[in-house]
Amino acid sequence: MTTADLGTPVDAPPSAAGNRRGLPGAARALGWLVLVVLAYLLPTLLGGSDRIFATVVLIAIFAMMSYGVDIVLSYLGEVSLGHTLFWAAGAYTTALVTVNAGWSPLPALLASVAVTTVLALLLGLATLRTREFVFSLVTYAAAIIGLTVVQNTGALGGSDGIVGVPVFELPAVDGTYVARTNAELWPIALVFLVLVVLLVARFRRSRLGTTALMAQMNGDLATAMGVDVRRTRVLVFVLSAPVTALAGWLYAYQRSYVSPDLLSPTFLLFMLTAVILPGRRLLLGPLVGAALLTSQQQLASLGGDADKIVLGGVLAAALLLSPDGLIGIWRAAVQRVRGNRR
Amino acid sequence: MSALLQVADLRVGYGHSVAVDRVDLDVREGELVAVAGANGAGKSTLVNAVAGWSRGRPTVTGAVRLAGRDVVRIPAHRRTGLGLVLVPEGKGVFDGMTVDENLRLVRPAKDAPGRRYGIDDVYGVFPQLRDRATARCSTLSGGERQMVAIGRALRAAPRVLILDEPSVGLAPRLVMQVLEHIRRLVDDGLSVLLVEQNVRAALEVADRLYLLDQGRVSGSGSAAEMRDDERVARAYLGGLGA
Amino acid sequence: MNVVSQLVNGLALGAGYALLAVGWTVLLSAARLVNFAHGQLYMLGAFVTWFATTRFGLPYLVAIPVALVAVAALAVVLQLLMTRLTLDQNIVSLMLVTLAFGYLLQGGAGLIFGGDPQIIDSPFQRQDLSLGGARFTGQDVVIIVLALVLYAVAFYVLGRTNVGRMVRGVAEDPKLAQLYGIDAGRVYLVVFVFSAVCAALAGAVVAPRSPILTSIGFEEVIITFLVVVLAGIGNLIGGLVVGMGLGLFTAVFGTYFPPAYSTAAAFVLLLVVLVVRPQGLKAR
Repeated sequence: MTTADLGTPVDAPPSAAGNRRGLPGAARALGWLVLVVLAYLLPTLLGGSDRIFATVVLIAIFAMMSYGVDIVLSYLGEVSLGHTLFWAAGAYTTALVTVNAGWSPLPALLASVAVTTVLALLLGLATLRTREFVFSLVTYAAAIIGLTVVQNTGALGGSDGIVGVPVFELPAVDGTYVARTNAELWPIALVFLVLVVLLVARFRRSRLGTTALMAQMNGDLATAMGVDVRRTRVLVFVLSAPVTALAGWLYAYQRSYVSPDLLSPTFLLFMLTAVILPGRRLLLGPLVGAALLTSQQQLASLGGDADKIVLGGVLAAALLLSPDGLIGIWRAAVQRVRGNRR
Repeated sequence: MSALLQVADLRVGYGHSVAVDRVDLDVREGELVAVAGANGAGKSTLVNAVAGWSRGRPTVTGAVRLAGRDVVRIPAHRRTGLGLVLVPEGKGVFDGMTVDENLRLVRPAKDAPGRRYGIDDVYGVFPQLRDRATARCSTLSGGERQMVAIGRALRAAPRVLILDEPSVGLAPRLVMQVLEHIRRLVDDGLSVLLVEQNVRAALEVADRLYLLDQGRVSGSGSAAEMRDDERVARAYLGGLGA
Repeated sequence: MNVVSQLVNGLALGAGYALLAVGWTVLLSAARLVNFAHGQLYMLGAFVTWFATTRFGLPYLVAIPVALVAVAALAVVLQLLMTRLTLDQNIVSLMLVTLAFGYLLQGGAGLIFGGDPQIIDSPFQRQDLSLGGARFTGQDVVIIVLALVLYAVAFYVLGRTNVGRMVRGVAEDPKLAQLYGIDAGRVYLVVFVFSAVCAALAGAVVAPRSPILTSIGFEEVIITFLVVVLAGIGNLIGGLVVGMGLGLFTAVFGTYFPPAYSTAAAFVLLLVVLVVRPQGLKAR
């Protein structure tokens, strides 16, 4: 993995991106495969304690959660402050159908995706004609009102949430694969993370992805070229929601309970910071951001309130000092070195 | 006599492209100096830089001296206070406010050296604005809006008034009307730097003229000299004026 | 509960909403700025008031100015950090930065003021009054009067004074304002500080009605958003009317349904309005 891979903006000409290092497709695929295998072995290489496994599983889950926001923020250029709603919807749906009805993980995932898609569609259509930042205000309001509703609804467990989400079990060749520990959950989390990254990579190259970017860069021009900006906006928003819900689904199993804190600003700030800190529009950006933030919170926590200051401070500092994130600092440094050499 | 406004070796660039290159230009007390040139020659970039104003983030080097003082590092709002007042091309007034509010919004500094124009003085210069005093600027005609823009610039007690294409978008009949208004202000003692794409019209009223081509001064001289210049006649006057 | 008492209840509630929203409305209408830390500034107004009364033993009426000055000083720092973003009118970054500031302030307040619920001891809260069978407190009267006064002042200053014209000019076009000799950065600073002080004042007078936590900022700000979007972006008088209306709605709703859902009901109302009239209830 070189920084060039992280740093290629999606709007670079495709030919330049494809032949950048003159690598044929097979070699690139092999490179990615090696990367995934390395990632799989990483927690073992780091000692294999439960704390390490918990950290990497959470990194994968929070990265997936952040990719939902990434799709909207990086490519559509809109700030959705309502993705905690989809995150919570995924987790709560999972808890409801598994605890109350005994569903197994994959049907629970389908239910989570279905519920979240409907929610996103409703919210997307309601804000269809809103201008400027009203979209952000309304999505933010939706998330916070979701919080008060969940806290006060008995069927959702009120402020206690729902406990006793069963152990993650998948049918496998030799019976069932049971994930009792974080170490056993890690392969599952990694597989879904890879799927999400592939989805986002596909989206970046898709017609919808390029249209969204065009609408963000120059809405009037896009309209003039026959792009239905509103339709694009709703589609991208609706596409992004199940990605975050998928993370919520897995989080319900990892934590074995769900509670209203899923709707707290902590997760909202996390998602936004994970996207913005590395730099927007990077394929692996949200993963890097989630890894940095999760590592701090899991391995170097300063306590709840101080962690809030860290998270808020990091986001504010990134936006004020380097709006292009860490990659922006890196590029500036590279340019300076090159300039000196000349 | 040293010039009231003196621009020396001014360069303006956006990123790697240079929009104005090594321009020297001056405006003496009580003079109407016009800058003419084709579209994209850098006329607006030049006068915007003189006023320290831009909607982008250009890099500006060189000197802009107002009565001997270099103002090139001073922000636009303070240059207005010093009497270097710009009426930009296009939108030059607040549409959401009435004529009267636009004029009242500008108050000259206590020690402003330029001539002061009260609200009534502005209405004296543009009598037809008096009847529209309480109308929102969004309801005015193009010519009227231009008058409000010039009027509010007068309110700032300008020493040098910079006008960027005040006649753009106006009917031909109104073009001369606006330019004659400006000439009268100059005859009253004001110093004006005028950007005008219509060279023929500019030569009618200006004392001196600078021609700008691809960001550089390609010629300058008194209005009379420029009128008689073969090159100017061929390039800008279409031979009709000769 | 009788009608009069519902009415009084709703008005007191609504005046609180309107008070919370006035700073935001001015910020939005006057400067086209947004501030997602508004709720946390409200929270700080409440907590500094509480801190000044309990730790320094200051009387309530002296503690309020202390809180206002503290929040104003904080607002100056925040706005100076954001000056470049505001001059560029970079709304997306401003939303995110203020959101981050809000979270940071909440963490800071948690460290300083602790995690326990606190009660602001206001002498007006202990004054029980009644009118036509409706019971209310002196605090309710203070809130209603303050809301009306603040809206009147904001309306007058924005509409009739030169400061107001400068602010409106900067709102319409900050670049053009520079050519009028206006320092747009300074206007933004003044408006932001005014808005923050309004939030702090709302915190100091509205919060004594119920226990306060450092997390209240997060939820309180929603009412502001509902008021602002329903009224139409930057509609000052609309803010007052919608705030009051929302208070009445909440009071009536609360008598028939669990009060916890009243904000949710108001939100559904908002969604309907957005579909029918995306520009809010504003006339133009």
